[in-house]
Amino acid sequence: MSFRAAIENQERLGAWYRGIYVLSSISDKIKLTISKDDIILWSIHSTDTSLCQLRYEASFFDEFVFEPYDIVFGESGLQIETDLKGHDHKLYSFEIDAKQLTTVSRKPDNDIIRKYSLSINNTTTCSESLINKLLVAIEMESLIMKEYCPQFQPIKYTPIVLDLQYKRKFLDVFGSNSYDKDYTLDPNLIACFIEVSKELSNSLFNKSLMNQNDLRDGDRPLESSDEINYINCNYGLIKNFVDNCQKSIFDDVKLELLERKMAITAFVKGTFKGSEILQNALSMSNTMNTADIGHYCLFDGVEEEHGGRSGQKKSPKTLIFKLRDFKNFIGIGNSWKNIPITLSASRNNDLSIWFCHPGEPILFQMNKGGVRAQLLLVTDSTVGSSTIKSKEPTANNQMSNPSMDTSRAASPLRLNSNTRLQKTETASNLNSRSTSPFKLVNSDIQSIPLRDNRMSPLKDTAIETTTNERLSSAGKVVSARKLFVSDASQESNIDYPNVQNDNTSKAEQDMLAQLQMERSETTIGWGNRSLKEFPTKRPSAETRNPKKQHKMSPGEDADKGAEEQDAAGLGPTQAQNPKGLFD
Amino acid sequence: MGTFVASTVHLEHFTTALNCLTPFGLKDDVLIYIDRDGLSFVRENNHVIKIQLLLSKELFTSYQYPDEEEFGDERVDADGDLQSCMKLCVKINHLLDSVNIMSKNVDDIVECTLTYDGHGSPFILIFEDSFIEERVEYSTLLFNDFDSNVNGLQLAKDEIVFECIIKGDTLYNALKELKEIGCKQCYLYAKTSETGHESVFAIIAKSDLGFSKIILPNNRSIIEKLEIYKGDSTTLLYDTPVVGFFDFNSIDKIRLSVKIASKVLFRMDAQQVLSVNILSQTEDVLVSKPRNDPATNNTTVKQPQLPRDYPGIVIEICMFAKEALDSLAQQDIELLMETTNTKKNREINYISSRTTMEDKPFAPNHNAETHSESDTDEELHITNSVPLFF
Repeated sequence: MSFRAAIENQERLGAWYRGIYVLSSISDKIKLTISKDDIILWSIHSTDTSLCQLRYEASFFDEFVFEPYDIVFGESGLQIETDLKGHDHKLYSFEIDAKQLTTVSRKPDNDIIRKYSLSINNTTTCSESLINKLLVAIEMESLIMKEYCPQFQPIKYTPIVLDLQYKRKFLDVFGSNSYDKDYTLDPNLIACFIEVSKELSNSLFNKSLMNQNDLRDGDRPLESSDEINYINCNYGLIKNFVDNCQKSIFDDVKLELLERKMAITAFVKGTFKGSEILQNALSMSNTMNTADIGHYCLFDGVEEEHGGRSGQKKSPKTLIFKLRDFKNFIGIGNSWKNIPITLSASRNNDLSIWFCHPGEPILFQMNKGGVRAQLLLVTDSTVGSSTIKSKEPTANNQMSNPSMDTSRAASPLRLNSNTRLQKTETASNLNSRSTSPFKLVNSDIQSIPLRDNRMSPLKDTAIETTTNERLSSAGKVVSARKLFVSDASQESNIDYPNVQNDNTSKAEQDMLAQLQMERSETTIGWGNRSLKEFPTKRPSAETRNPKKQHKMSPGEDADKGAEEQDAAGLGPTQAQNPKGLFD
Repeated sequence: MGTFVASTVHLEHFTTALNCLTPFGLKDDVLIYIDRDGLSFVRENNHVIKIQLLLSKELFTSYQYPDEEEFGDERVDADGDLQSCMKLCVKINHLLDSVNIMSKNVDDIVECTLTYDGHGSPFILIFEDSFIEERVEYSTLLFNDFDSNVNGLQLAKDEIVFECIIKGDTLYNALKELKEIGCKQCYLYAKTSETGHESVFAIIAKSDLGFSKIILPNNRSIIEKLEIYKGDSTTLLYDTPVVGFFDFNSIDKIRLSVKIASKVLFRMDAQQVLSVNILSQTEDVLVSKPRNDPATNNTTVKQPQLPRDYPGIVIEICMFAKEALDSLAQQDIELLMETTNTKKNREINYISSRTTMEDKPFAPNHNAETHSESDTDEELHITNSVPLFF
């Protein structure tokens, strides 16, 4: 036997089957890679829009044998990877028809599977008819024994390491700060850093990542291209939402991070479905308090080097992606519910999310009981600003797209959030808003000012509020949830959006021009509220390095606003206030 | 007069039986023989597969068969004797629809009376409950006479090659599996060993997946009998596999019948005719599971029990093999099964070692041991066979 793995536990079997089902829903080919430590299954959609990868550790299986040295047939699937320590690892990879694999991996109706085993025998003992066949043997409780041997095609494993890149970036941006003694980091977050860094260093395919020394120097200011955000939240929160979304009704999902809440909305983009008009323009959203989310790191600040444009308001961080694959993916977690946990394996059933800008892929990851599931999904790019998804909630965008778009852009969620925010707002906030130049501009729904206001109380220091200048607070990861209070609500497109917006705006009417003007006048610095003035490692950051890495969420924009407000003497409460866009 | 009259209250059972005929052509004519023992339904497709289903007269509360002399029809019964009978043709779906509708009446007991007056008269069903009487007449026309002797679709009982008695539910699971994997052709494989421990009865499916094997448990409680003969129905042969090659569509036609079976008897003769006898003993019948639960519950309460002496539905299906396998193909299949056998033996060892350890917790070490042993065996094997390969 070149390879043999068996599962006897029902829960694990369920997890295995479900995983295969989800992979098969993405592509009609599933690729498997076997190493001595794990099996990786992945499939990528033919248009490269989604990639799902499942990693089952060897401990997940009740039996696991991998003997690559015996393989004489189908050796084109063999491959040797050398890790950073110089050890060689043999891998065997192949591609198999997804439909066939699901056919043999499904729960029988009236029977129970006692043992499910996979094997490959490409050794010299292999009979000719079984070369390059995946031998699937299933023993049933009824003692019926089923054996299948679907054909596979040996291939080379060409890993897609986007997830590692994200994690690398995540560590670069947030991780280094995490060890500052001055900050109290959420222990969960620290654990997360440790785990991610371990994963990075252990990965077989990290060469390109680890070798590059261009890890950010501590002093290099963060740029918008460094943006990476991380959220960890309870699986159940997402699942509850997803369970209510019918794939037949909703097309897209929007994930929004506001100052104090995270909102997920499922909606239908098109107002036309079939020949019916506007029948199905629905949306459904769940909003949860950020306090209910696990630890998170949100990329707040970027220097506003981009020309005069600096003054944009921050929008909430908003991402839009397709529901279908996401829903399937979330379903995997359900099958893990009762999976037995081995010592080495982790742990809770949390969902981790990494994302950068709109338009860049979003990474979801779940990890439990020796299985890790990852989903990479493309997100809608905001470039066009006209799209609903455009996250650029900022006034500019809206202005620029005077009409429909803006209105669309204001998804129900936002409205909701706004309204909610308003409730919380204090009078002072209102005042502050009124004072802010933005407000005028920001007649649009999601008023930028909110963000401004959002300065979290925590950010005492944050307030370098100079108009036109952004405060750059040194990016620091504020671990404590308290910090989160800071402006999550703002729209996330920090600086770049401005640029983009400009382009768009050009096309647009006078309105735009005016708006732009206004904006330019009012620049809000992105203050990171480092609770302490960026005392530590990156003193430079304070100066003007806008990197704000707050665990705290998105509110950096708010920070800017906050800064201003702070200047105006607005208290910590402002942070809460900012939301009242309508005001 | 020469009128056949029979009445029953077991409509649900009647429906279950008729359902077994549907795979053979729902909208086609079924030939009904009425004789002293009961009603036989016969249906044949393309002269390659034939079903014969007997509803014994014990199912009917009254069964009145006219004097034999009045009818000229004769048929050969199972014992080879000529027997007088009445013959008629009706469409299966007509009959089924009528019965089906009435059997759904769970609030009341419906009595169904069948009458037939001989050639030229309609076949009449009368349904009666406490309030309503319904009468359904089917005109009959005998234009199709399936004569098993003429087309040879009959098992040569003195040339049997293998014989196997297997539990219905297990076989049903296997057949269902065939359907689910999209089987196109299938093979029946049987092999016996003198000790019986290594006997194998398996269904091999050829589908998009390549060859898949479904090995039925070699277990006295499931395979009650598995014997291979030298072609004379008497001399036992061991260690010689027998393979029958069938079109999946043919094999799949027995699935619905197997579903209600308690036992299934497979017999294949040297001419590659497979006969499947299905016996559904009343107490074992899973009476039409798909029926909604409340109905079944009510039924158990209200519907009368089937008569004690009722032997159950008896079905015989005969089919031709798709083609005789040439020796090469046969070898392929044998080779395919051999790869299983070794593995299966291993599993048996594994299981027996496990059962001997019953009370002790199963030590993972042991597990590993078993496998390492087998691995070493295999390695030995490898070294032996290497020269063959190169």
